[in-house]
Amino acid sequence: MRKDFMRTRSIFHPPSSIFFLLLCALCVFVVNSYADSKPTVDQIADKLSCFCGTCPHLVVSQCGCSMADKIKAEIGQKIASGMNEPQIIQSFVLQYGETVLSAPPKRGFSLTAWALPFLGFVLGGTVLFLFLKRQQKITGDPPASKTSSGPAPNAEDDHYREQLRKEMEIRQ
Amino acid sequence: MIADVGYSCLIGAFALSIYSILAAVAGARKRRADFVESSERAVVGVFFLIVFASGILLHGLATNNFQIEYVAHYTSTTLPLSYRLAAFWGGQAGSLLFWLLILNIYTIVALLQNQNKNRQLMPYVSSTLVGTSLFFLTVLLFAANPFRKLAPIPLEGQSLNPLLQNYWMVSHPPSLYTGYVGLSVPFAFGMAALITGRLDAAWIRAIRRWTLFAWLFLTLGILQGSYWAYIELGWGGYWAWDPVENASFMPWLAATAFLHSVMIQEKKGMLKTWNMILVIVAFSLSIFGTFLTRSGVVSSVHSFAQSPIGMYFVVFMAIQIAFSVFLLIYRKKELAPEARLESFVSRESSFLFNNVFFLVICLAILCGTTFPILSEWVTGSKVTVSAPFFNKVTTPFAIGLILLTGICPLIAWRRAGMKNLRRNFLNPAIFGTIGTIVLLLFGVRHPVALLFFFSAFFVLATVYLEFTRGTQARMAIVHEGAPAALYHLVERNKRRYGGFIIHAGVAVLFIGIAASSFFRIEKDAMVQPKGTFSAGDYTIAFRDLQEFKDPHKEVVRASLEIFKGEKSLGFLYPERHFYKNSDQPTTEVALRSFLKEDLYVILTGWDDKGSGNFKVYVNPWISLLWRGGLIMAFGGLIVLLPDFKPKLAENTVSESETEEAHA
Repeated sequence: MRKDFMRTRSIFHPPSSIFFLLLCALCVFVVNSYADSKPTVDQIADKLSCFCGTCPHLVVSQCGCSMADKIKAEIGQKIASGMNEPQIIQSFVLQYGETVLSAPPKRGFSLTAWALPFLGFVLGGTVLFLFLKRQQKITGDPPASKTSSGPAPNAEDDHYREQLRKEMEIRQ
Repeated sequence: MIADVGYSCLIGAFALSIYSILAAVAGARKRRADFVESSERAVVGVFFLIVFASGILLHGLATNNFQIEYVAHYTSTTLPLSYRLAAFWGGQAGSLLFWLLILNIYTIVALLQNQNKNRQLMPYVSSTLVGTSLFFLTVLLFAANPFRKLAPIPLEGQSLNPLLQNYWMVSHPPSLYTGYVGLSVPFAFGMAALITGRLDAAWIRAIRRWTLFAWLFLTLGILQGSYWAYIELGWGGYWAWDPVENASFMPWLAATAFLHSVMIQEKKGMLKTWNMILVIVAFSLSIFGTFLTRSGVVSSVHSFAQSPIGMYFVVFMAIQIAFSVFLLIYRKKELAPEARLESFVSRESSFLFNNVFFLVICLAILCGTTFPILSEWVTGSKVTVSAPFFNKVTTPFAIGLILLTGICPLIAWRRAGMKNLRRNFLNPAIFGTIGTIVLLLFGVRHPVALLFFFSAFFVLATVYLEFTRGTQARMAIVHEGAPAALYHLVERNKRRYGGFIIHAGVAVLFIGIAASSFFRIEKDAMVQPKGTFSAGDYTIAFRDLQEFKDPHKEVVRASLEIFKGEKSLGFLYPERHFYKNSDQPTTEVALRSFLKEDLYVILTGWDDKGSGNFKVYVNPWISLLWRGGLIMAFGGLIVLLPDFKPKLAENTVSESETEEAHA
């Protein structure tokens, strides 16, 4: 069983590993270059919810009402006065309460909203992993012919050739 | 009088539904074919009564019969006929009657389709469907009567919400409802299979096309709804993660997960319990979506006023879920798999991972949609959950899902080895990486956008390679030309290649979503008459403001001439409408669509001197979103097309016979 599991890991052979390392390096480079950019009025306005009453689910940056315009102007003034992003957002929370935030804060009970999907993913992934492992245990180690270049993958790879052969047989 | 006839029809349908369920169950248990036939005739009776009731309401809407409260509430004499008819699904009671009407059309079609097959299942299939009808009839009779009368009769109605007066609202709700309600049929077959213990492949065969049909209409409905939001709501976007949008998306996710995992059951006889769970979840989410939309429990731009129907839905959902879970536990042994999964790296496993991603996205959306209520219950304080939450939580899973879209159909069944992986995925991975590097060189820096683009390029390359290999194989073996080979490849393997077309559509759609979300240009401008301003590559010249009236609204219109460089691209006319029957002005967006981008202009205000306030968005590649969605629907249609293989085989035989005769 363990041997079989190790065999499936053979996809991590040197050329693939180098390729994926390069891909990771590319991602890190891009993330770093993006992280350097400064927050703008819209980036802060994205974190605030408009409460004009006509658009209950739009963020301030998207809402076209006069209240959203006023809040955006305030954000601009606060950036100009040297306040940073957390300070600006906190000032709005003090003014209007936590409902002004476009997403629940990542603390207290609100943390559950953020955590649940990821917990669900971890739980789902773990259950699936254990399920697959159990299934393999029941099935046992497959014969050598069913490994990497065995008949099953080839048969599937040549799905359309098989399909064609059948059609040809009908024609002939 | 006519309203009383409508209400009487609903009472008759209610009584006949109860009889139909009792007769069907008694017939199935006592093996009395006459009871079952009688129950099916009662279903036909229910169908005609509901068609008649719907006809009465439609007639009332068309003729402005303000004696009926619903008609007075949602129409007016000045409302065009198409919108008066669309008011059928524009309000709470009417939309519930519309749900019921579609459900009964499905029930009749399912009965007709299965007159000579699945006979052991059918009494329970019809009982489940009629049971669902009975629930909606209960709501209509006791909590949301569409035929309630008004006295005295008003001279004029309150008219339809101005935001709903858009041609997409004529077709969007019927598409969405056709999809929503369509999920009832797979659920009914699932319940019938569980009750009878006939858990072989028959029920799966019976429902696959139904689920696909529902999926296709849900896709079209969601697409049309997004386009409506884009051109009507005037905020430059198409998806605000509004509770009602989420309500339509969640059953779509569950149905899509089912359409993938059902392949494993058909091919290998595995995942029987899991598929049953997905069918139950998809149906439950469609009821939950209707509950969210109709009860007003969560505030939404679409939702109707707070009403007592919420409690009816809660009770129905509790009964339905409890009954489903009980049956699942009861039939646990019969649901045991016929085969085992052999490897972590196989198509079966990749489909299961894809299911995890679909359901986690569904969970994230469910969590975000219901969290404001939950938070108020638990902590007493309100929180807002809007687009940033949903975007952050769903994005990583969406990227994973797109990658799996490329991997799933090409990885080998049972066990994929190095050769299979290298052959199918090395070139697409290289293509994706090169495409991403090219975008980097062109200045695209947003990491999440680049991940989306890489994933989409990867999927497109896998689809392209699969079509190329299949076509080339046909060309080599059958000696067909490329177009004929491609046509026959798809025509003889509709399910496989229709699926690939859907995947290509998903990739194109996500390129549109990523490009238009991450690289949108936004501009606010206050401009004097004859003044100009710029947005992206466009120069916009403000000519003037005009005001005029029509029978049911006042209109303020701005004339803007659009230039790209020196070249004039014509005029755009953003408007604000002030409806007589509404306090809230609406925005009429001026939109110029090009393949590369949309120029989207909103008139946000003006002053006495004639100056105009404008908000302009340049949405890059948003056309790919709509095109991707249409490609998905086209792929779904190909998969749905009936298989003419036996006919072709007959034709082939007759052709060869003819040739022999000539010889």
